[in-house]
Amino acid sequence: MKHTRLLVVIILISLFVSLTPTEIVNAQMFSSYVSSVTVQNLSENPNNISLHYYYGGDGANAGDIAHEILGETVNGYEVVEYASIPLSGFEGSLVIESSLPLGAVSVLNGDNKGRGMYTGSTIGSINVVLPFMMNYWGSSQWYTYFSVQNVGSSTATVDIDYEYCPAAIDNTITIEPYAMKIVDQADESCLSGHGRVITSATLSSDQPIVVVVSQESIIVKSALVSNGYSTGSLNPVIPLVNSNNPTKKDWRTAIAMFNLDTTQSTEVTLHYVRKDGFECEETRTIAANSATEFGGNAFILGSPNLTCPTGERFIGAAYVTANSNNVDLVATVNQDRGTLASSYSSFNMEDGTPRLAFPRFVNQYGGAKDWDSTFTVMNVGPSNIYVKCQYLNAAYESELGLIEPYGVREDLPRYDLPDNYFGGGICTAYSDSAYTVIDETAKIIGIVNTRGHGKGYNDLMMTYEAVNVELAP
Amino acid sequence: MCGKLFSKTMKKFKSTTIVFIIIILFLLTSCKQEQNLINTQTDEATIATGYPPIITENNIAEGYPTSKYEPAIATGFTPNSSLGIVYGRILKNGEPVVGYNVYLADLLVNDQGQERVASLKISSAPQATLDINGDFVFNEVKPDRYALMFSTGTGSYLLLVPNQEPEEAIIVEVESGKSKNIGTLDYMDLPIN
Repeated sequence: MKHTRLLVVIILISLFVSLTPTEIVNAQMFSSYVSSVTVQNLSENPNNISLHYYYGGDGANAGDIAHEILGETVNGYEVVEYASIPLSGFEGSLVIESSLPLGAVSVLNGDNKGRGMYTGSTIGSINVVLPFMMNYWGSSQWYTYFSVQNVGSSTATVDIDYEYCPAAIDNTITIEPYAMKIVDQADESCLSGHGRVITSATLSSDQPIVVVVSQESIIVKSALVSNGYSTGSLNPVIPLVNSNNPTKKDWRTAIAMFNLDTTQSTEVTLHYVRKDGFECEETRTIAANSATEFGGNAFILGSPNLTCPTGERFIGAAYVTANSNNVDLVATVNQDRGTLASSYSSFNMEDGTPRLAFPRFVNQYGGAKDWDSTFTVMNVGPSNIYVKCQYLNAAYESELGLIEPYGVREDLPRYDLPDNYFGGGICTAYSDSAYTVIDETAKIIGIVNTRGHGKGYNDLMMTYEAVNVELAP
Repeated sequence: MCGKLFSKTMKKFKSTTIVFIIIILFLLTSCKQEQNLINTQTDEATIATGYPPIITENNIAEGYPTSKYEPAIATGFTPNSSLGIVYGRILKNGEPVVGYNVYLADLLVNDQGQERVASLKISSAPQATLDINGDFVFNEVKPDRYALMFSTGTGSYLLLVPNQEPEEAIIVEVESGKSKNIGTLDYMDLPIN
């Protein structure tokens, strides 16, 4: 039987803080971290999986751990959370091996204040790009670090090139098979001590790698976590853009779009569609092998490159309609509002499938029932579709109605799901309004925002990309 | 004639009644004693089959912290001898942590038989909610070894023995018909707002 390797990079699992904080890696990073991992069975049958926890650096591991995820809830899409038993804390990575498709998301909690979520990777690559990195940026002093996991079977040599730095290779690291290493930009001599830096990075490896990036500010206690990218598309799509929401001081979305071509620049037009149907666009040139910001402060302050009205509230989606040199593009999308911040990745339209899975979804959950999830689904196929979403162990279903091509629908089932709900969900595209015939040619993508409403000067916003699911033959 | 007969009958009746009453009293006394015996047996049986026994040092899991904050005695019960109870209290810097869910997660072993991973299926795992004192009680828990996990909007996390180096997960061994007092777990920090 074919075994799929689902690769989940987990950074700095330190579990709960005791008297002494866990290792302080760098003064610019949070002093301790704790991670959680949620895994979802994406088939309708019981799934035998094997967990392999690797301690950071040297490739030592916790042995092979077998587990069966049963398929006993809605459509079998069961959700399980895993935590490693510490010998003394844990800093490392996780590989999950499975005979059937799986989805996974992980939360990275820094000092229990700055938080971010990311989706587990299923494949590594020898070339990875990181579109957006910061060093000592802004009054909040944003820094970035990333974690690289070697998913090959031999020791990996990884060259790192920062666009900001003049050398062709700015740092080289070696990583044992399946282990991970953290690269902190504050430790890079070509970035540190040069004032405020915003840059991008490219990683080249002789073994396949996966990367997770965390942008953090210990001043405002915020974190934005996202994946590194190895592939892009000519017309990436961004399912949620919100700026000046509700005022100029509130939500903002900044899109760092990376040109994956190493030789050609390209002129890109990003087409914005507001919820009410209003359309506008932004055109910018992106140099070869580097990133340019779209959206962001241009929505607030105005820009000759942007036709959207300055300072007006915008909630909608975006997609690339022009790409002059037909190069592959990929973007990291940052949403922020004061201390609330989260990050997600742009989507390739061709990666859309008729079904999405949400491995982690909560409703009025937590001590004060103050965490809610909402989701956004975008139709990236050529036909009209009808989308219905089901939740594990809950009777409620979200019927999103007709979604036209490039259309977006959201649902916040706060008053429909039970209080204290923890689970996952799936959304499926149908060709009819009665939701009886699954549209097997449909392509949908989506994100999940999870937001806390508690008091405190903390980052209460996390976003992850929904997992695309191929329908069983 | 009738009077004599009546008087005789009454005498016989009286003596019969007295004997009868004595027999009844004897029987009642016997029954009462038996009843007492049954009650005693019921009490013992109840303790054995699940009512929480009196908390003694022996019932406190070895190695777990105790403090001036003693958790409330479990008020739940287990209906039969095949299940157990787990209870304790969670504080953050001495203050009760309220309203959050805690779970008993399954333990998974690696290929060397070592417990290395906690697996939590929230839809079916034993669950308890922290009350206003931070107290939790898991009733009717199947005997097994579990890891104690704490669940928030940001994820579910393994709870460790507070303030201890090296770090140690809280592993609970649930036994049939017994209560396990985990004690008070007072953390300096938790991933909550």
